Amino acid sequence: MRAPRVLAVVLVTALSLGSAVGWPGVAILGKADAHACVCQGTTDGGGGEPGAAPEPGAGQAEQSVGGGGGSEGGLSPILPVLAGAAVVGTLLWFLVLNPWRKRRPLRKALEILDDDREESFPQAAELLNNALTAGLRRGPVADARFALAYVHARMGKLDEASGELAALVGTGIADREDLYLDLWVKVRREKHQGAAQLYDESGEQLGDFLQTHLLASIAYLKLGRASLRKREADQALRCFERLRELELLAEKVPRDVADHQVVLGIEALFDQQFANAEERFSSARGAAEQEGRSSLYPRLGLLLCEWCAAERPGPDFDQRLGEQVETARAEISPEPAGSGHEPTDREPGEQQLLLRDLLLWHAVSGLFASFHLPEGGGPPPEGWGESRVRFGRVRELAPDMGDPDLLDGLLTYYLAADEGERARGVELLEQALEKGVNVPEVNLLVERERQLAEAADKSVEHFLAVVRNYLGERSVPLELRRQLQERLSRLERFKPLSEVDVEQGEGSLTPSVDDLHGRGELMHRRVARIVRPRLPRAASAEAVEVDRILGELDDATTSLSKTAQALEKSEHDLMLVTGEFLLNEEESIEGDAEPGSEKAPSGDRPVEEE
Amino acid sequence: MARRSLDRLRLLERLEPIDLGEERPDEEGYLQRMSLSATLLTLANIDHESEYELSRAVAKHLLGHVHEPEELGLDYD
Repeated sequence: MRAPRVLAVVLVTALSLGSAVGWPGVAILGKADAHACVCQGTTDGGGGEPGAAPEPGAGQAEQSVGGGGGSEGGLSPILPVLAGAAVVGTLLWFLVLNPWRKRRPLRKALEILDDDREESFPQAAELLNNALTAGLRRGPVADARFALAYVHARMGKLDEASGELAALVGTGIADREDLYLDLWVKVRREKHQGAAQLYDESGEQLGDFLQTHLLASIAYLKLGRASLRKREADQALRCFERLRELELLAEKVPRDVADHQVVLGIEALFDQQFANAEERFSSARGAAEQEGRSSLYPRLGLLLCEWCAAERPGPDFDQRLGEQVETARAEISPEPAGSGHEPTDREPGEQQLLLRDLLLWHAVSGLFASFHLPEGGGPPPEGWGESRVRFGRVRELAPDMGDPDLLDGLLTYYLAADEGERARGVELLEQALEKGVNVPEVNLLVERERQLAEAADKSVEHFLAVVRNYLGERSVPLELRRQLQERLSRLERFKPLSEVDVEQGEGSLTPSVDDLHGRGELMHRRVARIVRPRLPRAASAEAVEVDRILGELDDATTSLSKTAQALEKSEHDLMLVTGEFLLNEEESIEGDAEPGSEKAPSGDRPVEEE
Repeated sequence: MARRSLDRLRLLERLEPIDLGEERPDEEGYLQRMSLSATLLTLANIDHESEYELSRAVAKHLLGHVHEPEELGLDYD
C-alpha cells in the first residue's frame, strides 16, 4: 500500500502546484475539494464565467480553471521548476531516502556481523530488531530476519533463533541458506524430528551445502533410535534407510537392522516374551519366503525361541541348527585369504560375526548330546571327533576367539585318559586365558595345575631319594631291596637306582618292633607327600592302587604297634602268672613232705634253664 | 523472490561445526542389541561362564564326579 500512497501524495502535490500556475485539465480531477485551502491561497480570485453557479468544491476548481486560463504573469516561470522539483523530491524521499534511512540499523548490524565482532552481537541483535519494526521492504526484511536468527544462533539463544527462522521460512521465500540455518539450529536443539522432516522436504534444495548431509544423518540416527525405543519400528527403519542413503554414520546402524519384524522379535526375546517373539519371527519368515528373500534370520530367531524356552534343547534341535549353519555358510562367504582384509587386519563384517557366533552356538549345541549317554559311563565311545570339528571351524574363522579353546580344553582335561591328555587340556586352557577368557575357576585350575607340574618335576627326585634311602636300609630284607632295585631300574627315570649298592655293609640288621613301626610311618608320610596332590584328579588304575596301598601300610603300621603292645603285655602277664603258679606248687609240695608225710620230695631235681 | 544482498554463505561458514560427539555406551550399543549378528550369543546365553558350567556338567554326567579346582594343590592333611 505504500506505492499508492506515495503516488497519491505526489499527485496531490503536483495538482496543487499545477492549479497554482493554471495548468489546463487539472480541474477535471476534482481534487480541489480536498485542498480548498490550497486553492484559496493560490488562486488570483479571478471571476468565473457569468452565470455559472459556483458549486462547492467543483465550482471552485472550475473557477480556478477559468480563472487559471486567464491568469497571466501572476507567478514566475520558476514555479514549474519548483513543481517538478517537488515531485522529484517527493519521489526521491519516498523511494530512496526514506528506505535508506530505515535501513541504517540493518546496515550497522550487518557491519558487526561482517567483521565477526562477537562482543557486539547483542548490539547487532537490538539493531536488527529495530530494523524489523521500521518498515523495511521485503528483501531487507528477509536479510534482517536471517541476520537476527544467525546472531541468536551464534550467541547460543537457539529458541530465539528458531522463532526468527520460523517467521522467515514461513513466508515462503526461504532459500538454501535460510533452510541450512534452520537445519543447523534444529539439530543443535536436538529437535531431530523437525530436522528430519525439514531434510525430507527440502533435501533436494539443500543438496550437499556445507554440513547438510552430516546434520541430516545425525537427525536420522537419533530419531531412528528414539523410534525403536518407542517400538515404532516402521519409522525407525525408514530413518535408517535414509541414513544409509546419505552414507555418513551408516556404520552406526547394523546392516541387518532392516527387517522390522526381526527387530521386534529380538526385542521380545530380550524381554523373554517367547510366544510374541515366535510370532514375529514366523511372520518375518513368511514375508521373506513370499518375497523370495533369504529367511535365514527369521529361522535363526525361531531356533533361538526354542533354545531359550527350554532348559535343554530337544533331540533333533542340533540337526535343525546344523541345517541353518550350512545355509549361513552358503550365504555368507568368508573373506578370501590374501585379500588384504584378514580378520586380524580389520574388524570382520557383521555377517562374518554372525557366522562365527552361529558356528560356536552349533559347537555348544553338540555337547548336549552327551547327556543322552549313560550316566557315569565314561566318554563317548566314538570320542569327541565331531565336537572337535566344530571347534575347529570356529577357530578357522576367528583365531583370536577363546571359546573353542575353553570348551576343548575343559573336555580334554576332565575326560583325559592319561597325564599326557590332561597336560594337553591344560595347554588349551592356557591358550583360552591368553585369548581373553577370564573365568575365576579356570584361572584357579590352571594355576594349580602349573604348581603341580612344577612339583611333579621335583617329585621324581624326591621319590628317588626315598628309594635310595630304602635300598640302603639294612633292616629291610636284602631280597626285597634287590627286587625293588631291579624292577624300578627298568624305567628310564629311575635308572640311577641301579648304581645303589644294596649289599653294602656286613649282614643285615634285625629291626625291632619300634624300628619297623617308625620305618612304616616314615615311608607312609614321605610317599603320601609326593603323590597325594595328584590323586584327586587322577583316575588311572595306578593312582587307585597307590591310594589303596598307602591305606594298607597305614593299617599295618598301626596293627604292628598294637600287636607289639599285646605281645609285651602277654609276656608280662605270663611271667607274672607263671611265677605265682610255681610258688603255689612249691608250697603245696613242702606241706606234703612234713613228718609222716609220704610225699616227701626224693631229692632236688635239676632245674632246667632255657 | 525478494532481492537479498547479505553474504549469507560467509556467515554460515562461521557457524560452529556439529558432529555426533561422544555417545554414551548404552546409547551407542542400543542399535547393536537390535542386530542378530551382534546379539546371537547373548540371546542364546552363551558366554565363558556358561561354557565352563556346561563342560563340567557334561564331564560330571559321564564320569560321575569331577573335582573342584580348589581340591588341587600341594597342601593336604
